[in-house]
Amino acid sequence: MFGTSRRLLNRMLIVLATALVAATAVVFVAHERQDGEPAAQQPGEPARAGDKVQIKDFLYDPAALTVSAGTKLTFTNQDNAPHTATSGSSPTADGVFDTGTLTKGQSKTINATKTGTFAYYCAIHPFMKGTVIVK
Amino acid sequence: MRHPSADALRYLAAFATIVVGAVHLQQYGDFIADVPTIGVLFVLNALAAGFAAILLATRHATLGALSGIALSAGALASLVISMTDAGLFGYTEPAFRSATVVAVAAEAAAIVLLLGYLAARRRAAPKRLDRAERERVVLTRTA
Repeated sequence: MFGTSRRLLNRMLIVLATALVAATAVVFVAHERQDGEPAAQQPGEPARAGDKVQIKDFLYDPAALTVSAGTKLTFTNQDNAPHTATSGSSPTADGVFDTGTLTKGQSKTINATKTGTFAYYCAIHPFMKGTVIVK
Repeated sequence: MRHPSADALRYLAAFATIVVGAVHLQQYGDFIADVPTIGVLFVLNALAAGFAAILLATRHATLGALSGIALSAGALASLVISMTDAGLFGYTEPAFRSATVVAVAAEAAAIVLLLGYLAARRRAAPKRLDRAERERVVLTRTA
């Protein structure tokens, strides 16, 4: 009797573990297919004009943006993960602007008054980088 | 020889290991998939957890236990590194989120249960005879 219940438990365990492996494979393949879609802005593409930067999928979109001096520039986080847009080069903030931590759906508007080219990064995920050119 | 307490520990440990993998898979689907390197590591963790749990249900349970311990210990160490300023592959864990709490609890439980399982199995294993004892057994049988 104990042997039978052990066999049953072993089978249940194998089914559960196999389901985990299969689910992982499905989610991974689905995400890889999604990644095959064209990116919002290709690396090396010239800076776009506008006054909005969307933060999505651990990227700034557009990664390079040109604005006129005096523009109110809005950063919006669409990721589930929190992000910042902090001017400077990781890990050193230069103090020109900082959105602070933005959780999903939150926005922060900064006033682009100073002209120049400003690199910025996410203080939480330093591999995220962007540039604002204020003319 | 099988030991009931070893079996109970094995099943509980396998379940904890599956929870470890499931949390990593859920976090991958949530947002980690977009984080370079870390996303792939989360997928590998979920796959490895599944395979370790499968091994725990087979006669290769010891290998499954050792794999499970290595997996959970590695995940815990990675989490600790990601919470430092240096981060892990540039990724810094922003806060102790509920998913992080579940993962840490499952990883700690998996390590303790798997170590317990290995210890119980060792206790239940027939005692290995030394040379003198083996000779005595042979002499007794041939007498």
